[in-house]
Amino acid sequence: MCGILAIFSPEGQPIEVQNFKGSEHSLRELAYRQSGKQRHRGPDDTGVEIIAEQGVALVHERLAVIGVETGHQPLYSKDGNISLIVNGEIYNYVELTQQIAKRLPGYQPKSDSNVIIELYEQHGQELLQHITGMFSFVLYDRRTRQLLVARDPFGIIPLYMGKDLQGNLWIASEMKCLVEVCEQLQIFPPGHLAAGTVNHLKPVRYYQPSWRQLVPNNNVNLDELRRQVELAVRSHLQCDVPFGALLSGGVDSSLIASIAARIMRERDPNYKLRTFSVGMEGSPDFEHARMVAQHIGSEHSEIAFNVEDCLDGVRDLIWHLESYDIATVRCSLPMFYLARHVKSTGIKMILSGEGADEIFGGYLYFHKAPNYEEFHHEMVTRCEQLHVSDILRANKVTMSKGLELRVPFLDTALVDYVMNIRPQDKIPGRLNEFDGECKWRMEKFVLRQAFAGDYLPDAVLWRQKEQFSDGVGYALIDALPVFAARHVTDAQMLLAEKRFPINPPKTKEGYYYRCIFEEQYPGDAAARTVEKWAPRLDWGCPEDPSGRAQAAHDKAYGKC
Amino acid sequence: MCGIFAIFSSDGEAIGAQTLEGSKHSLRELAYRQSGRQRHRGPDSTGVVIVPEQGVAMVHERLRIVGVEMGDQPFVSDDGNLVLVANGEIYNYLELSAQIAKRRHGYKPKSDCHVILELYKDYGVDLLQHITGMFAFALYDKRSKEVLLARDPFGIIPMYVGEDDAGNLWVASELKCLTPCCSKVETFTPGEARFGRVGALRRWQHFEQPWQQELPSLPCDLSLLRTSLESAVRTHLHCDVHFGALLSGGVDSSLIASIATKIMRETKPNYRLKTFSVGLRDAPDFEAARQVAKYIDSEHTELIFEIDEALDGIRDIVYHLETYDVTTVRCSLPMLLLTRFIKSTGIKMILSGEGADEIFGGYLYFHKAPNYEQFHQELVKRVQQLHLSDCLRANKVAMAKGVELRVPFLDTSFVNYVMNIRPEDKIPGPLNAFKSEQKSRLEKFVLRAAFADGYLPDSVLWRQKEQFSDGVGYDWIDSIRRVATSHVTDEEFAQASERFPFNTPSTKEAFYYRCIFEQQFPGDSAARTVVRWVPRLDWGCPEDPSGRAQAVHQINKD
Repeated sequence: MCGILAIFSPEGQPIEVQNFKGSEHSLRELAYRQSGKQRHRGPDDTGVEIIAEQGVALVHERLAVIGVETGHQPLYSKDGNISLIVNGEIYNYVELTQQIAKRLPGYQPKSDSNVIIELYEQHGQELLQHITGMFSFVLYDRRTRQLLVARDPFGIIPLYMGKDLQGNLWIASEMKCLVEVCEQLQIFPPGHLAAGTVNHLKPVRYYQPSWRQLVPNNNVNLDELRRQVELAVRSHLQCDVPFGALLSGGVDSSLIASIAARIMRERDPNYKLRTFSVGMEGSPDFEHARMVAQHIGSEHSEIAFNVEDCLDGVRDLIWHLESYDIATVRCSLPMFYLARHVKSTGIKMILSGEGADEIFGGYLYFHKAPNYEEFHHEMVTRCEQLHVSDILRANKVTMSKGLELRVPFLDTALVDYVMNIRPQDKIPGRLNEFDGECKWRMEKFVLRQAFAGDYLPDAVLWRQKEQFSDGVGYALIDALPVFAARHVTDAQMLLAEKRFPINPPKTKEGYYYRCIFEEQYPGDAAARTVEKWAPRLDWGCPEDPSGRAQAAHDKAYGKC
Repeated sequence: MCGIFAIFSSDGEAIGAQTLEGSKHSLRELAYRQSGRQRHRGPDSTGVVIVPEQGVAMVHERLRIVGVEMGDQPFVSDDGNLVLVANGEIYNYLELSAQIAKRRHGYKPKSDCHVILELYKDYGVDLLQHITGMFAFALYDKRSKEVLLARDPFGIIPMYVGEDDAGNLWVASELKCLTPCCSKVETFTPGEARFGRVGALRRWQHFEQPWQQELPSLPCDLSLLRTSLESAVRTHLHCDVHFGALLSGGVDSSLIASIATKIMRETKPNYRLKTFSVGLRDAPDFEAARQVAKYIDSEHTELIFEIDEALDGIRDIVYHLETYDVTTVRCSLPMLLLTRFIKSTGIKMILSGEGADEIFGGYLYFHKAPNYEQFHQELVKRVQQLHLSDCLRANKVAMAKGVELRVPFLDTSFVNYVMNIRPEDKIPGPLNAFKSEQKSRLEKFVLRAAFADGYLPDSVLWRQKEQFSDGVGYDWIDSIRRVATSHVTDEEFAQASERFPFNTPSTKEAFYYRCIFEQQFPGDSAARTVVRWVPRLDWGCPEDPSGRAQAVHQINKD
């Protein structure tokens, strides 16, 4: 994975030398400097292309994962007219390469991303109907001066766009590259593309599955579900460098690791997957992760931290996350700690279980869904918010250390299959009607049932969900508000709405995160890019986003 | 290698919360944040120890090389009274551990640096007479509130100290951690130690050798020279992670790579060292490096860079180097690209040839030394300035990408041996009188002659020196000079001495680097940490520091 940055002048005219922070900067110097703020995303190599006479700068910060030797970017078409910078992985590139080779004999892509150029030459913007994966890219055709910007269906890969005072268009993987120079900025929405000349660029949706509007009525087929998950994992294993898997101790990441280990053993019967888990000493997750590691025969590492180690990271974490959302910050702290450790072992890519809770309805508050329709729509909402919550966290936290995270549950075909399953089969609790039999079932029942057998020990396969932020230890969750309160006075809290009219913080913890964010990302536009996790108060959920606060969990712990 | 950082309160009492850039910071928050500016030195983990009631913060940013699993710092003694943060490698730690184990049964060091803590218990500040290696460390004794700071003899490892407005003592591997909090900053002198309570620190040189004052008279023994260098390389190979070697194409780095290969093959006969070189397309260095790689059968990689690509890094390199010295900036940029590449291959440690030119008199201008005495004194001066030029560059550029660079030529006992050789044997040109036979010899003659048998192809062993920045390709210097110059107008340059009264830049190129430095490290005291390369004008050397400008080189080219 990588980081991308692009600048385009509004009329295709050259961009003059400008003064920035006290020094003259050519377009190249400005682009290189601003892209440097996301260089952690691409520690291995930087590629710059400047088309001076058209006022275009393209910068690529590379983490080499596929096509290590040849995949340097920007990539160019054969005639040199099309330039491309991509962040992400195109998982079906091998099939696409074969198709392209039929048209262009001898075609060999330099990396997975390379196929985008040939597909553009053949299909134009319709190429987005052909590629699957996680990606953000900017493609520029210097003959027509057309550009094509696009982002994957769920926003696994971040992308922001902005405009500076001269009207130049800026695009970058992370907001930190834009915030000082752009007066307007916004998230480039997932599942959208923008095509045309700079002045006529507007994101339009290209990913429009029927399940977004309609409540589906397909019965789940457990064999097919299993096949789909396995296919997704298989496609996510294309990787030319050492990789591993996270084990949070929950069923989602454990399943991914188990399936990955099986697939790798088809090729090498002695293969041992490297797995990692993080937690405070005595965290319940360690034990479950250890059971999984033993079950799947992985080479397992446990990274234990103490509360203070994690608190140290708060400021840096907010810088990396570009969010002040409480739940996001909380869950990210252990992950931030873990990612640094994983990177230090030489691993560049890691598999994880994000997305399962959104598409199967795994969050505990889904137990409170009043009916099938609302349940389904809530899942759709959660899927569409992934890019401002779990996925934002997963991507930016790992990339802060130059580590690529892959999330097989968000494989497009798998999501489409699962989101087309009727809510009766997926809803947790007593409304569940799997196989036409109405009875109380656990959240993510169909997923667990599909992998019953010897994928995982039963204790994990049928384990109740913990929000990651709880699973790593209640002590951290308890420490954060206390820690934050040291920085915020009661008098400041009273003026919270005045100081932060957009998304005003309601707790001292929220206020503290917001102050750090404001220091690093000043301005309304930046504050508006953040969406706070909103509980379904109308379903009777409490304000506190931690899983523990949800009643279903207490029940599982025998508290009510 | 790593980064260290510490704050010690002026009076041994607690340090209260303070405001930095608009936010309130506890001592721990402040220390973690400021140390974060050198986190590139220790990408693998951070360790923090706070002694709140005594106003002490110690932070360690770690790159795991030796003792991967156990070596996270700060180290705290078993009784909790001593805290240590150390950056570097103690090359004789195995012998030292064996000695310590005799006194304390079952002692096992957690890493090479851990022995410092144990030796302090036994010897106090005299521990500095026992350790050899490259290091900078801060040790704190809670009982007496005493601090011990020390830096290796040649300053291979950087260290700065500063003082904030409250009089608290700050210590850091890189200057960037001290700005903007310290109003006074200075380079911690190599070979120096300081001990005592803050405000009453005793300072002394722990490294004192006769060759620093007197003209040596020892004739060179080539076989002793060879075995000394070999044992230096051997100690520099302690490493628990992947490593490689730089091949600049010159004799120095090539010898190190060749010796390392031979040593590794004692235990693994099929061992192939990973070697790397960098240059513009068709750089003169590539061909020579390729010959070496073939000769020692290494797994060799050439990184070809484009001029534009290297120029992109000017601002970043000044930030990492913490210098505005023209030569240092010029030759560091290709190196920055190379270390980034090396890191991306998974290598964490790399061997290099720095130091040979200083101790053997390898620079071309040494041909102009008028007599033995001045030659030797110039060598001594160059060795003392290493920490401001080559060592500074080598360490900070590599650490910018979390790669540890090791320089066997600067092994303490090896330097002592070579610097004790009489100048008659080392001086290049017609004054050379090796084995009492006076005739014109190449610079570094004794080094080359000592390794004449089976180490390197003759074409490299006897190759004339190229300054690194020339060796990567002649266009490089011209380009960087042109681009840097283009950023400075005549009017700005006319004001140079007013704007920069200290170390006034004498070219537009120097002016440009100075402006970037000034933005990143404002203030007089930061500017004073930099010492510019000064040619021996009295020997008839030109102002331009590039090797090519030196006449001897020109003669050899023509």
